[in-house]
Amino acid sequence: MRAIGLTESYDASPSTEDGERLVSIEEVSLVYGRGKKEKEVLRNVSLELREREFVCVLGASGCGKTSLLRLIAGYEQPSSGRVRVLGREKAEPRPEVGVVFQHANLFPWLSIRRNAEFGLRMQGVGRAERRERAEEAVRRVGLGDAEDKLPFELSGGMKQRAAIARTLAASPRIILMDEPFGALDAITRENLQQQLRRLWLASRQAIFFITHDVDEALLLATRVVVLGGSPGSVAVDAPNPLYSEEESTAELRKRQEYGKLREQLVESLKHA
Amino acid sequence: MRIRSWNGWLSLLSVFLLLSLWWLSTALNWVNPLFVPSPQKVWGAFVDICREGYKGSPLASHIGESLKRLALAFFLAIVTAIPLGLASGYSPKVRALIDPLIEFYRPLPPLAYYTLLVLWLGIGDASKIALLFLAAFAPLYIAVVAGVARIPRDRILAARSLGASRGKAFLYVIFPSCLPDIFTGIRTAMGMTYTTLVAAEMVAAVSGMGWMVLDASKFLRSDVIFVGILLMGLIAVLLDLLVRWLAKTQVPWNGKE
Ligand SMILES: Nc1ncnc2c1ncn2[C@@H]1O[C@H](COP(=O)(O)OP(=O)(O)OP(=O)(O)O)[C@@H](O)[C@H]1O
Ligand SMILES: [Mg+2]
Repeated sequence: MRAIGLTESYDASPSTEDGERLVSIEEVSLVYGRGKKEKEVLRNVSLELREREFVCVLGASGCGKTSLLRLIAGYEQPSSGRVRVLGREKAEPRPEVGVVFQHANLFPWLSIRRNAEFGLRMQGVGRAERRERAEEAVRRVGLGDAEDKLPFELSGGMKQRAAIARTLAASPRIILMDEPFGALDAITRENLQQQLRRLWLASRQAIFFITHDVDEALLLATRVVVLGGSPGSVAVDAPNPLYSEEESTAELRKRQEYGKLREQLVESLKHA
Repeated sequence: MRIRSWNGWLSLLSVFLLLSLWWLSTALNWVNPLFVPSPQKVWGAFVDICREGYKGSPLASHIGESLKRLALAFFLAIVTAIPLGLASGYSPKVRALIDPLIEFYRPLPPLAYYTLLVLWLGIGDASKIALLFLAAFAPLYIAVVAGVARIPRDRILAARSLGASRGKAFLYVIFPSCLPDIFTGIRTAMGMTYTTLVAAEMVAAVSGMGWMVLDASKFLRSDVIFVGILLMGLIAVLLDLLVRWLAKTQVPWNGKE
């Protein structure tokens, strides 16, 4: 494992190292298919996610980022190694681990508010309370005016926000996000990045965030992970030296070291 | 919008042309009036049947009888085919259990097993309803199974990650996901039952639209046959419109995901 530059300029160390360990992935490999179709996607991956962390995972297309997320979500089981999530030996889908998909994946027959209520409804929260909490979540992502609309009536960016609201409303301890802003235009993406940052600064739920976008990673992450190779493995796993709670994303971009860090990260992606 | 209204006019035009041709061919004696009655005669028969009924029962009761059989059979098909289809789609075991039966009887001509049904259930309404039920069941079941197969796996996983148990995911995700397919299935099933209606009313019936047409044919009353056929066609169109309206209001997201 190399740390390429990122650790050299390590100064504003985020105080998350001592948080409780929520996810730990130990020497995991994942093989899809059998026989001739067999394909090893991840090999010997070790990683952890601690309380209050915002981990951004970068990596070339097809290197196994989504597969890694699906292991944590409990959608896939590792072929070898261990995935421990919130103390349990076997990862399985559960409401403490929220997932935001690359394509919003909302329930098309439910209004935005009722989509946001879904998790609470499944957990048996009473009608009045779940409505209130869902409305709160929908407002927080700025969709208050659209709460009675069906998903197909929304734009892509609004759908993605609705999907985030649906996950937030269920109050998970860990949120897994798979390139949630990947399909959006630059301006919408920047808006949503800022919104997500604000939400995270307020709640400090642990976030595991997959992205293709180096800037996105530098602006949001407390820690950056680069996956690379085929089968994929961890090439970089280092705190984000740029991470700051006080400065806005615009200010972060203007920082002197921003350009250099960005370049280093792009380099490490190329060689990963 | 413009194109659509144009198409409406085109449809009207083709109906109008057909009616004109019908009227012309009878007015100019191109055809034997015994086989093709004139529109006036058919209208006269219609007015007669409306006023005095046909063979002792008013027209409304003929229509009512047919619709009652259809509705009962349909109700039975919906409450059985949908849950079974959902279960088959969800569990390969259930599917392995049910599929062969359906694959076997589906292609059979309904009249072939109708004789058996009459033998078992008698000549009353029970055998008729059973026949219509079987006609509705297969297309509905197949549509639902296909619907379950088409559900994106991630949608179910999303529900599980939000805390839905397997049972709840079935009820709250799988079932509503299939609603568009259920409506498609209902429309196909409706067509199938309707086409078997006449067959069902062929044996030992004394009422119903299908029976009316068959009975009239014995007496060469082609005007009554025409009335019956036109009525059946009209009712079919109305029923289809009703289902389409239901589908549109109940599953507005269909095709827009
Ligand atoms: N269910 C599956 N069965 C077989 N192969 C799969 C499956 N899912 C993914 N793969 C393969 O595993 C590899 C990694 O896929 P994965 O989706 O994890 O990549 P990714 O890093 O998320 O890519 P992207 O950035 O394009 O989303 C790919 O080669 C893909 O074809
Ligand atoms: Mg992916």
